Amino acid sequence: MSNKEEADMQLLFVVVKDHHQVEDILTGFLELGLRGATVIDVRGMGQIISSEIPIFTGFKSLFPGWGADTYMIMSVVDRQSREKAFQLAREVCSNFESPGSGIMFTLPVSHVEGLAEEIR
Amino acid sequence: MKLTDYLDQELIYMDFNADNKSALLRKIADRVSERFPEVNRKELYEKLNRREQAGSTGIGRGVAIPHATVDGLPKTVCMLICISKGISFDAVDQLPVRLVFFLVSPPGETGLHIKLLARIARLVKKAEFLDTVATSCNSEEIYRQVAKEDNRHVE
Repeated sequence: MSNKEEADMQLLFVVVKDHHQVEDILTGFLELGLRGATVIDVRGMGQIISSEIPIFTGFKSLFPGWGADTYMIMSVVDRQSREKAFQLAREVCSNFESPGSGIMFTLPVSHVEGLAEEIR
Repeated sequence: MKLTDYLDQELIYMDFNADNKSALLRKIADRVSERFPEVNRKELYEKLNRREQAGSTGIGRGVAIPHATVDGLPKTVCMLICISKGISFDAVDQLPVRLVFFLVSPPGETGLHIKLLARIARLVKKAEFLDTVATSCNSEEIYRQVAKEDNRHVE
């Protein structure tokens, strides 16, 4: 992979609270030709605070989706796929408008090896 | 990628008559080999059957997406089949299947095949689309609905 291609890479994170959203995003990734993503079961701050730190139990409503399972989807995307992946995640997560509907962000990737090629 | 690039109105079958899954797959193989004589009907039927044995393509909510790759096909083709009485398909939710999206590709078009499968799987999750198809009485109307979804779809 050339330095220029690497410079165009970003690590996309999408955090969602519904397994159906994970399925929809991964199916959408396939449609876009992306065949690499990692999904991790994670726990949000609200989930831990409201369930494991008793003093905050009464404030659980401050944390949208506090009791739900949470999943983090990670995928390295290039410039070409990035906007489409964003659009897909927005579509699945109702534009991230309602509290607790999910989070999306990216980080630049400075170096990458072993990345699967996109489906052509 | 538009579904209508692979599905034309002649490939939408209303009130397909099949008593069970095996009969349905057989009829699908018949239709494909009638339209594309280079396709071996028996080979296609066996491939569809093998795929179903590996796990039902009945994905729930009355929808199934049987699919295969087969020699002799000039291009990837999608068929849409309505079965008003519904048939048992060993679907994940055990509901009878009333809508079948059939996808068949020539070898070497695996990438497109996977993308189209994903496209169809996402499309049939839309309740509005399924409702429209369920209440449509002709292939023209269903084709229009697919085209409408295509135009709305972000590529």
